[in-house]
Amino acid sequence: MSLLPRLGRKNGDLAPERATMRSIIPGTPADQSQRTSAATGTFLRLTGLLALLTVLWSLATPLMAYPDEPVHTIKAAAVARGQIFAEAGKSFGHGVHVQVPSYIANLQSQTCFTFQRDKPAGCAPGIPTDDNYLTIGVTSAGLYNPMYYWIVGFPSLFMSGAPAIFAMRIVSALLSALFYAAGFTALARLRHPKWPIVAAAVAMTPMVFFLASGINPNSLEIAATMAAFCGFLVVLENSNQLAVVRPAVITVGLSSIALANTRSVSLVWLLCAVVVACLCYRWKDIKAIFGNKLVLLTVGITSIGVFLGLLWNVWMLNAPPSAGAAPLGISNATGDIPSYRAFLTMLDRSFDFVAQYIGVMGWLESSLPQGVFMFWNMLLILVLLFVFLIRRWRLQIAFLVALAMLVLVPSAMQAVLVSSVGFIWQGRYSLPLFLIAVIAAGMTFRFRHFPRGRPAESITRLFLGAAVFAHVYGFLYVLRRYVVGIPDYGNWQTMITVPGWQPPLTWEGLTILYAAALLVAAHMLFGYLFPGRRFFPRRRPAARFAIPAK
Amino acid sequence: MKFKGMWGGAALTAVCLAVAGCSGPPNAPVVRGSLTAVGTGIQGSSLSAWRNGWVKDNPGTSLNFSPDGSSVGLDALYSGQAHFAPIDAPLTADEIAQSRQACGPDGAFSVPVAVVALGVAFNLPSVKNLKLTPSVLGSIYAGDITSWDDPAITDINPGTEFPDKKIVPVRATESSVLTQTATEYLAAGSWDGQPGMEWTDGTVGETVSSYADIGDKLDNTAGSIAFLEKSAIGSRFDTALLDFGKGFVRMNDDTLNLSIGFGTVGSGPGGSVTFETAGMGGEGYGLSLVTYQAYCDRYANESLSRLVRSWGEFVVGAGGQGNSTYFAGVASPGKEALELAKDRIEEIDAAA
Repeated sequence: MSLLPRLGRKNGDLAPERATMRSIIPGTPADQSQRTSAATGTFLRLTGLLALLTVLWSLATPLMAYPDEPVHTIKAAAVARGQIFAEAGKSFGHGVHVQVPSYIANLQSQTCFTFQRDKPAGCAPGIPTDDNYLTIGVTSAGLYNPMYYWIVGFPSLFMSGAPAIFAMRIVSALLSALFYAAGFTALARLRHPKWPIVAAAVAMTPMVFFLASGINPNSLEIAATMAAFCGFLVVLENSNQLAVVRPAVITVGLSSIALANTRSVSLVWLLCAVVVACLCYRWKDIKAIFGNKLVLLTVGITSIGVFLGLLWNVWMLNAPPSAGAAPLGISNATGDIPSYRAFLTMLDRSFDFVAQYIGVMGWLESSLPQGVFMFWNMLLILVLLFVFLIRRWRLQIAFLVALAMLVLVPSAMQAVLVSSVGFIWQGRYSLPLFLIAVIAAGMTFRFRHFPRGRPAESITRLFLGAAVFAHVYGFLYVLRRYVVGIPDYGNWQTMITVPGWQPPLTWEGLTILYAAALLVAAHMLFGYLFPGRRFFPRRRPAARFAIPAK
Repeated sequence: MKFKGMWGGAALTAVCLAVAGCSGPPNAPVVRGSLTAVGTGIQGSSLSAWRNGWVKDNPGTSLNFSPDGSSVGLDALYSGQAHFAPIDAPLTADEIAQSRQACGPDGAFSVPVAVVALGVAFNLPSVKNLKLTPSVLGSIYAGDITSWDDPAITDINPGTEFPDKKIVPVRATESSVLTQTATEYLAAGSWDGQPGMEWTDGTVGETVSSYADIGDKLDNTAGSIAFLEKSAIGSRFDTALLDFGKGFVRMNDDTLNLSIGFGTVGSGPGGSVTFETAGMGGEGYGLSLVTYQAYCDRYANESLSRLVRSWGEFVVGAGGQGNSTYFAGVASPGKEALELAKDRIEEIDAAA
């Protein structure tokens, strides 16, 4: 039996199998109460697991090693202290000036290792816990929506020094974990959830975990887009029985509000998620959901949240003007690149960005090893090609549109921005669309039979084991980059002999915990795909031979 | 459930231990913190050079700088939005009075930190040792002299063959003290325009938005000529020998230092230190400007005042001046001026 989707097999052929699955797979049991309780359990377990993985990344990554983390941390501390709006006379060419504790204003001093992959993070000075006098902090994120920052900045009100910043990171990581867990839980409530869940698991690249664990609203917008998209899918699929997918409706509402209040561009991701989700279903399903009171109530509340997000964007368009133009480094506008050329250049780089979907950590200087790229490239190509095994174009269309969006939307945005801020696009900005495209691929072949039997289990074990290995290898490689740096020669042994930096719990401890958490994740996914079976097969008892009595 | 609770507690404890364990090594340096400066862009390269050296000496420090202009920098200092301001000219008594709210009863003071030389670069490869006077340059920028073989040019460059080629003056439209310095030099000749931070309307030639763009424009335009910073000229362009009243002088480190050596050190209101190069009529190469930094006399607390003192002392000290000379291509204001500046910076205090 093959792990690949079987061609030409129709839904009706699966009826007996589905009848068996209904009682086992979360989200598909026969009665509503079972479905609700199963979904709650799934959500809590997934939240715990994803929170553990993201928090471990938070601890494994040196402070300020995430892209633009200093300016987002400063903004978060300022918003938590009530400095929400950009006031007149406080906006300058390099950013908005705020009043934050000195140890936060000075976070730029932590970035001595950025852009230099051979330099360990030990060069960063200690962060004192007693430098709490308020001083000028500069943030280029001064005009961003304050919602994310208000939540993340909260720990800085009652903690200080490095623990405060780690706590801010952990709050951000937990926020992302909640949305990812909501997304997976929603997918599990599809009628044919296995392939979409497999696709979603493929989309959880090391880069997704890495970004989820730092202080940057980019983390929330990726997670919230995933949750919103998955929620949309479930809501549309259950348009005639929305009462049984109430959590998915709430997920859509909360994710939409989060997206509308994260970054101005996040609303574009929301729109893309809506379009692709609608293309996965029929027009009558879309119409049907608007006859439901819960949906209408959610739409009403969500509209208020989206309106507030839009209001903020409009407000910030009329924010007090900056006293000067952004200097080089913040703006890279050249004025020489016409929009059409920026658009074509982005198209040209479409495949180049894939590496940044998989894992280019730090300030874009810390690529994962080629082995990890090879593994995820293989998975992504398989996902891409599987779609074309489906014979009905109606099923393919949503994926093709999602793929087109992944290529065209960032290109169009960069073309618009090139004259004002220069060439700024990075792969991480497109990650919301990447997640939509990969999950949409899983939706395309969701009706295909998910193989069962020992060969399928063996292949799944192999792939899951390889995924765990790839994740741990990537995690360890990133730790190596910060513990001893990555020069042009092998220096793994120096991680033990002369580590130049140590994260909390030591790199060895974090790696063991990360590997253990991933094995638990693999175990859970395997048990979900093959109900009643285990990722770690039990040893067969040795054959007992009866020894004749003498 | 007890089992789950135990695991939950263990996880929570682990996170708490992790966070508590990362309270940072006990190697926090004494001089630490972040400074924010807003001011003239003319100090951009120098500030980068000073920042790199200062941060290297004091790893727990950082500097933010926004090149928004001298007047914006002073406004930021008055309103407490900058710890110091890189400025184009020494503070006046009126400016010091405005700074008292943010800087304490004695207000702010300024010290000279660098001398920026301005050269006249040209793109005419066949001509070497070009000599120009303020009058000839003024006529070029006024549009009265339009060709390189104009008699006014050939008369002061005997023995040099000039092509019958159009002169293309290139200038930046941005408001800059470089324009102020250039137009003051032109005004010393027969130029009708008014010296100022921007070129007057009647000035001929081609424009670019900023001084940073002049180099490329000059490179791409045969027959062009422009005022440009010494650091931007480097070995990329040939420069004209200019007349300051004592014969034609080539721009180089020796002639610039000669002008600085014959410069004048003075004192301004609030204990400010001033410095002027020999300039027109003096020895050496006189087309230059002195750039300053304005500091508060008093800062909110001891940590901050110590941080600012550390910065200021580095900038006017041997390390800082070496960095700016080497990496930013500017000159030092002279030993006496720097020592006075250092003494004044050492007086920076914390509010009681």
